Amino acid sequence: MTEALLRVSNLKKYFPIKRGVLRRTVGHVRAVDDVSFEVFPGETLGIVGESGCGKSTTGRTLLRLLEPTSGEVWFKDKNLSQLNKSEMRAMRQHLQIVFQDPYSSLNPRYKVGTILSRPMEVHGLYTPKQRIQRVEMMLERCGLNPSAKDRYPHQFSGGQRQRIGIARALTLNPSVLVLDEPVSALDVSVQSQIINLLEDLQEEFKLTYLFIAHDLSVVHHISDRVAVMYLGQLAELATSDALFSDPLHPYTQALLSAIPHPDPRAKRERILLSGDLPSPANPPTGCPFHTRCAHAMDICRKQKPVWREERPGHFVACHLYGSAVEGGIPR
Amino acid sequence: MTLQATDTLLNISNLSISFKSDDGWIRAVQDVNLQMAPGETVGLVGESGCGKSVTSLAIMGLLPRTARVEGEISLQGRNLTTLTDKELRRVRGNDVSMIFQEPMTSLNPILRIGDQIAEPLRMHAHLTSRQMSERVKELLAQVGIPNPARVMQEYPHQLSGGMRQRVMIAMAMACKPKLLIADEPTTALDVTVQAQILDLLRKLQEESGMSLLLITHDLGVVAEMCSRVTVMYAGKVVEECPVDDLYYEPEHPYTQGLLGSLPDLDKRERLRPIPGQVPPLWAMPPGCRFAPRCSRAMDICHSTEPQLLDVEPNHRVSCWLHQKGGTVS
Ligand SMILES: Nc1ncnc2c1ncn2[C@@H]1O[C@H](COP(=O)(O)OP(=O)(O)OP(=O)(O)O)[C@@H](O)[C@H]1O
Ligand SMILES: Nc1ncnc2c1ncn2[C@@H]1O[C@H](COP(=O)(O)OP(=O)(O)OP(=O)(O)O)[C@@H](O)[C@H]1O
Ligand code: SF4
Ligand code: SF4
Ligand SMILES: [Mg+2]
Ligand SMILES: [Mg+2]
Repeated sequence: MTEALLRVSNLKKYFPIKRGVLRRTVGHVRAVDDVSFEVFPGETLGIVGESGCGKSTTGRTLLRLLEPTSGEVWFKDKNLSQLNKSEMRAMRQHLQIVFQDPYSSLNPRYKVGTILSRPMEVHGLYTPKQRIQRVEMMLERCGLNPSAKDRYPHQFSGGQRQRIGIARALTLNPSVLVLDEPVSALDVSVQSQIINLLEDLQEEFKLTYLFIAHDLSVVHHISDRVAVMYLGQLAELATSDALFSDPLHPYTQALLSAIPHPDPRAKRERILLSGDLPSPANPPTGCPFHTRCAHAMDICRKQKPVWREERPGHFVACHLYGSAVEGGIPR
Repeated sequence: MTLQATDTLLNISNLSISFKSDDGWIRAVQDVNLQMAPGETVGLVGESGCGKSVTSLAIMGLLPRTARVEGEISLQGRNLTTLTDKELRRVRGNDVSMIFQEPMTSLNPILRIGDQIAEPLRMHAHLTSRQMSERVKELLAQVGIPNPARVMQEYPHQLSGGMRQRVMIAMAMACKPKLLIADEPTTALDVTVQAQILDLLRKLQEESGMSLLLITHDLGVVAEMCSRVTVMYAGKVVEECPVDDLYYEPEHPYTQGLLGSLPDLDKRERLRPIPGQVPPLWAMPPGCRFAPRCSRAMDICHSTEPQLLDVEPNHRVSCWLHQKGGTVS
């Protein structure tokens, strides 16, 4: 098996909750709570889960746009957690991020050409003339006319701005792209244009993607493997096909059953979850899903399930698997 | 469905909506026709900006004064476009309600949930404060809110997105409307919560017999909830058919393109996007509005607008491929 390009181990990010005039810390939001996974070169790892489960925080913390509370992130043979600020800045050339909102992620006061060449300038890459050539090439690769460089972000549609955001991330020739909901703000017909573009760019530039989204059919389509998050923790991780055809975790099962299918004759057996998502400031003890799980047992309330490889390459954190319950796999 | 006058609840005919701009009137919606029978669920789909919300606001009589409305909207035979503000307010409370696209902006942040729900009741029903509080509790329970007595005392920001949407639904149901318009009621919600809310809407509809006009851009939601669907593109209706036809026999190239661009959960094939983008309102092409993006466009498509015509009973399409003048290649 190939070596992982990125190794995330026991990553945690807690945000302090401050109250009162003295801004005393009264607790923590456990946005990312002990998450471990690997990303292999050239693959797309999807991360799904409901709003607030910690997807964006995972993406940002692993690039150290947010400082982790604890845990390690390895990029090839470099421990990112131990780099100092300037070393980390230099490292960002290889690890880029594209944000969800194509409207707010581009500075409205600069022309597109300036926005795209700035990162190369900051990293001291290429001559000014080469930078302009690169900007034009990337715009073209991303399906825009090179003359777009002389215009301002507001002159473009949502889909075009997302193309600009992707082009900007690619100017540095990175090996990893964290894509945080890159198509969520777009209409379906434009969304599919961007997805195809991402697939083409991945092949052309040998990119590795961490694709964060809450639209499950999009994630299924683009990902080689998919990780499911719930309340800051990983519930399940498997190849896209295994996860969607044979989900093991009761949460994944409920999530997948809730996807509306455009075929009106499609059979649906919906698992309706009761109750609301608990607060990540005050997560349930034991298994974080036990308050909504139809299979919850005593042990689920007391003990956190371990992250285990139930089948080759198929990881799950649930007491229904392993030694806790004999043969009690729900179907 | 060609509905008899008697079993039509809502009849929109040739509705056009324009907004005043610096360069004169800009038409956001043109010649929309839509009929709904009592108890029916109709989907209104289309991409951002195609005129879904504006159409529903016109039904509610809630468009800003800068808007010009032409055509007719009749509810149980009564033309709503000619009513006074006062008459419209009565219609809004008693006959038609709406759940708005953004739950957070349409709830008053400084009013307790109980008082928000009581407001429409106060206007239309004569209840003592005791009866009122009972009725509010009943409504909250009806939309599946656990512990209604406590939630009544809370403010909107204390509730989750799904709970806020339930409150919105409770408010809309307060006066037992004959028609509920739900504008993207689940777009801001996660799929598991969406499933709960759609389930709730279905249940309420079964109990009350109301009609539901469901506005969404999600063809999955339409398939699950609706019997018929109207597809809009750039301010016009391009196709209208039973949901089954929408998936199995879409006739308009835009509808076909929309379905083709969706990722398929059963197989992973390269997506087939619709090229280009929706033209802006002030630069609509003269002929078919979809022509610049349509792979089957013919000469006539670029010069003359097609009409919405029956291709089969219950199935109408606005495309030259389906009417005289267009040559099928
Ligand atoms: N800077 C911050 N300070 C405090 N809490 C934060 C901060 N950023 C995120 N959180 C909290 O951390 C949790 C995880 O947030 P995150 O944005 O990672 O979720 P997400 O999965 O990306 O959600 P979404 O799908 O809505 O984007 C949430 O409860 C959020 O409120
Ligand atoms: N008050 C207004 N003044 C001027 N133009 C308006 C106004 N309200 C809406 N429009 C325009 O009318 C068109 C239709 O808008 P509408 O809100 O109905 O779209 P929609 O189909 O609901 O889109 P979405 O899916 O984004 O909600 C848009 O081009 C919009 O910019
Ligand atoms: S550990 Fe228990 S509560 Fe958690 S998902 Fe598994 S069965 Fe359900
Ligand atoms: S009228 Fe012409 S351009 Fe318009 S959808 Fe039909 S074939 Fe395409
Ligand atoms: Mg996020
Ligand atoms: Mg709208």
